[in-house]
Amino acid sequence: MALLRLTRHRRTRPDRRGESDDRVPASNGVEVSQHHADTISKEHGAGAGAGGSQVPFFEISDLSVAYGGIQALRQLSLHVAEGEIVALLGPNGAGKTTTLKAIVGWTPANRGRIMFEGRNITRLKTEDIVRLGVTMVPQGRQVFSRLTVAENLMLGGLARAGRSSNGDMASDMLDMFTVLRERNRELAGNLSGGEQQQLVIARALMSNPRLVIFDEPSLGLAPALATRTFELVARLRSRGLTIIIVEQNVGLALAISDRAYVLAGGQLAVSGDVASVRKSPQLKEIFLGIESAAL
Amino acid sequence: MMAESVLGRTLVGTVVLAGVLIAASLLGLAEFNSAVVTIFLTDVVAAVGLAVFMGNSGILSFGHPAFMGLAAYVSGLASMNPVLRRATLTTFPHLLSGISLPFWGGVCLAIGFVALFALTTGLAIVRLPRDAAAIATLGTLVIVNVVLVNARSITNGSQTLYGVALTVGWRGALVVAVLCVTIARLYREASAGLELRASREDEVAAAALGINVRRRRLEAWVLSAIISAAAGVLLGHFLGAFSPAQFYLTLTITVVAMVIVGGETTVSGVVMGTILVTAVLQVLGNWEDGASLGPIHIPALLGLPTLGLSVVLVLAVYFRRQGLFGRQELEFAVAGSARRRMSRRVRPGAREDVAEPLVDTSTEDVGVAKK
Amino acid sequence: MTSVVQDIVNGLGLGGTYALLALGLALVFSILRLINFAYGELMTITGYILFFALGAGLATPLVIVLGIVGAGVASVAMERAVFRPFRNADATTLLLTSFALSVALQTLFQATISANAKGVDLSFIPGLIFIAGVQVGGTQLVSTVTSLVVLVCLGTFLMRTTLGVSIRATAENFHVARLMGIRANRVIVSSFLVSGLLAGVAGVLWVIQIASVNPLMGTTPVLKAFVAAIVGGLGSLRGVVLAGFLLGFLETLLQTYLPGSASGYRDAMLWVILIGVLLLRPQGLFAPAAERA
Repeated sequence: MALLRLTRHRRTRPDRRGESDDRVPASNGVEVSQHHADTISKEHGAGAGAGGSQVPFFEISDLSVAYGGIQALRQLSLHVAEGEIVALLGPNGAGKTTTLKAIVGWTPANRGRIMFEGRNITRLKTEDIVRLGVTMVPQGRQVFSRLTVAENLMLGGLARAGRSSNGDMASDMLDMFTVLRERNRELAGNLSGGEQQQLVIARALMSNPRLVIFDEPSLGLAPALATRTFELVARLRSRGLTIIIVEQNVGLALAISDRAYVLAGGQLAVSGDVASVRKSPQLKEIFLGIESAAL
Repeated sequence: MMAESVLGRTLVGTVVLAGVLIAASLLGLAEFNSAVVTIFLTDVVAAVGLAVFMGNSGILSFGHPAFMGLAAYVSGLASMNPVLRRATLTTFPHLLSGISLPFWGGVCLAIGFVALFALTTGLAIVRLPRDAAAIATLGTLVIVNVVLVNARSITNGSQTLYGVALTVGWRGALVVAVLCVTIARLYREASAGLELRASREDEVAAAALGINVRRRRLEAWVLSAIISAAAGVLLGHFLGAFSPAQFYLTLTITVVAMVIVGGETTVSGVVMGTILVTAVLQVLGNWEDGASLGPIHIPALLGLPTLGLSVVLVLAVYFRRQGLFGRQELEFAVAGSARRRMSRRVRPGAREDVAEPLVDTSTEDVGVAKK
Repeated sequence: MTSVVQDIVNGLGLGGTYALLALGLALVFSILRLINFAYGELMTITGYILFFALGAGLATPLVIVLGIVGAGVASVAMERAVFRPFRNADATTLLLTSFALSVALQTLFQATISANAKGVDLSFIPGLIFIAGVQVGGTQLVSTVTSLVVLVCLGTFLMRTTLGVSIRATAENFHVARLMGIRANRVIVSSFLVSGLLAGVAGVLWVIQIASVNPLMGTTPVLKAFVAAIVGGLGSLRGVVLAGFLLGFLETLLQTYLPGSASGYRDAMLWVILIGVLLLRPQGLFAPAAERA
C-alpha cells in the first residue's frame, strides 16, 4: 500500500510528450520513478476550482435514471475539478455503472444535467461525447478481440481532436506500454488479462481525452495486477488527465483518489475528501449492510 | 392442477369468448355469408393453435401451417372416395389404396399423424435457443412444403388436389372453435402453461425454479400442433380442394398477424385479433378491384389483402407489441380498465408487461437489438 | 454424367452465389442481430432493374451496373424506412418485421409488374467453355470467378480500410465501438449498402442462370443462404462464406448423384442437415466459441 502513496499534485495541462518515466515496466516489479515524483509541483488543494477557471470542469446535477419501473439513480449531483482523481464507490447495484452509462450516453437520463467544460452533454450521442474529450475504459477489458492490437489502437484514435497523427499517438502509446509494442500485430483476443487491461487503457488514451472514466478497473484481476493497474491510473494524472474511477474495491480506489462519492441504493450517501470518507462510519454500513440509526 | 378460483375464472372467461365467437359468427352470416364465417372460425382455430405455442413459450413459429397442411392432406386422402381418388391420383401407391376411412376415422388418423410428426420435430426444436428455434420452425414449414410438392403420387404435387369430402360447415367449425378455445384457456392456466409462461420471460430463472423448460415447450408444441391439425382438417373438408401453396407463407403471415395483433399471450387476444384481421381482409378484398372512398380513388391491386396484412403486422408490432389484449384475458381487461397504467415511454416492439430498460425512442439515439 | 471438373465448377458457381448471399445476411446480422427476411427481394429488385433497363435498350454493362447499384440503394432504403424505427427491438420483433416486409414486397411485385416470369436475355457469355480440355458451363464459370473476385475485394475492404475495420469492430461490440467515436449510423448504413451490393451481384448471376425474373425468385436462394449463414455461424464472416461454398457443393452433388425422383427432396434434406447442425452446435459450425458482449 505504501507504494501507492503518490504525492498529491495537480497539473494544469502539461506537455503530453516527454514523460519518459511513464513507462510501465514489463516485469513484475512496480516502481514509482523518483525523478517523476521530484519533478512534479506540490500544490495541494483537494477542492474544486483552484485552477482558476470559472467554468466547472465536470459537473452532474440532479441526475435521475430509471429502467422500466426501477429507479436506478436518484438525484445524483457531483463535480470534478480539472486534474483531480475522483472515486465513485458503492456496493453492487448502487447505481455506479448506471451513472457511467448516463455520462457516456449509453443510457438516457430521465432528469438532470451533465456538464463538461461548460457544455451540456446530457443528451449527446456517445460518438459526440467522446469527440469532446470524455471517454471511458469499460468494465471487463473489452478489447476488440478479433482485431489486432494495432487496429484496436487505431480505432481508439478515430475520435481524436488535435494535431498529432494517428501514427504518432500510436507509437507514443507503444512507448508507454512496451508490452503492446511486442504484440502489435497479434489479435487482441490472444493477449493475457493484464495485457488486455493495458490495451484498453492505451486505446482510450489514443483519443486524447481530458476526462477518463474507469469502470471497475480491478474487476477480475489478480490483486498484484489490480494494484499495478491503479498505479498506472494514478500516473495518468501527470499527463494532464482528469479521472473518475468507479470501483467496488474501496481501498485501491481511495489510495489514489483526491475525493470520493459513495452511492447506496441509487442515491448519494457520503462524499468528501478521501480522509473524511475513509473515516466515515456510514461506509461500513453501506458495504457490509450493518444497520445504523444514523443513516 | 389449478386452484378452484382460477378454474372458475377460466371457465367464465371461456364462456365469454364462446359468446364472442357466436356473436361474431351470427354477425358474419348477416353481413357476409357462411363461407366467410367458416373460414373465420377455421382461422380462429389456427390462430389459437399457434398461440398455444408461441404465446406461452415466447418462441416465434413459422411452422404451424405445416401441421395444418399435413392434417388436411392426410384426412382428405384417407376419407376420399376411393374411386375418385384412383381417378385423380393415377399413381397412388397400391399399399395405401386400401385405406378408406369414414370422415371421423380420417380425422383421427390425421391428428395422430401430425401429433407424431410434432413430437419428432419438437424433440429437436425445444433443445435450441430461441432464435435458432424460430429458424428451425421455418425449416419445418419448408420441409413439409417440399415433401407435399414432391410426393406427387399421393398429393398431386403442386397442383390442386380435388375430391376431398365436403363435410364441414360453419356450425361444425364453431363447435371446434369453442372447443379449442376452451382447451387453450385451460392449458394456459394449468401448471404446465404457467410454468412455460414463466420461462418466456426469463428462461434461466424458470429453470432455477425447477421448471423443466424443454418438457413444457414440447408439450406446448405438440398440443399446438394438434389444434393446428384440427384447423387443417376444417379447412380441407370445407374447401374440398387445395394445394401445398395454401399452407405456406401467405397462410403463415395471416395467422401470425392474427396472433400478434390481438395479443399472443392471451386467448382472448387471439380471438379478437382474428376478428379484426378477418374484418380488415374482407374490406381489403372488396377493394382489390379498385374502390372510391369519397375523393380518394384506390387503384385495383391484386393481393391487396396480403399487402395490407403485412402493413398491419408491422404497425401492430411497432405501436403495440403486446397486442390489443396482450396483458390480460378479457375478463380482467374489462374490470381493470379503470386502473391507470404507470406512465412510461414505450419503445417500438416493447412489451409493456415486461420490465425492460427504457431506451430513448428518438431516432437520434442508437442502440442494438437485444440478443 | 458430368465430369469431376464440371461438378467442381458447378459447385463453386452455385456455392459462390450462396456465399455472397450468406455474407450479406451475416454482415447485417453481426451488427444489428437482424435476420433480414426481405434480403431475397433485393435480388428480385435487381432482376427487374435488369429487365426494364434491357427493355429500355441500354447497353449490357450499364444494365448490370444499374442492377447491382439498385440493390444497394434499395437495401439502404429498407434500413432507413423499415428497420431504423425498430433499432432497439428484440430479435423476434425484428424477424416479424422483416418477414412482413418480404411478403409485402413480393405482393407488390406481383401486383404492379406481373405474377409471371419475365424473360431476361443477358446472353453475352458463351454456353460452353473449355478448360484443360474439359467442357464447363460458361455461366457457372463466370459465376465462380465473379464471386471469388467480389469476396476478395470485400475481404480487402474489411481488413484494410478504416471503415471496414470499424464495421468489424461494431459487429463485435456495438457499444464499445461507439466509445471509439465510430458513428453507429454510418456503420449500419454502410453495412446495409455492402450487403445490398452483394445481393445485387448474386441477383445478376442468378438471372443470367435462369434467364428470367419472377416475383418470388429471391425466396429460394435466400432460404438456402440462410441455411449456409446459420450453419456457418452468423457471427463469423469467414465461416459463413465457407459454409456457402460447402452448401453449393452439397447441392450440386445431390443434384448429380441422387436419382431423379428423389432430387426434388434436395431442399428438404438441406434443411434437415441445418436442423441437425443447430442441434449439435447452435452457434454454427465456424462461429467463435464464446462471444463477449
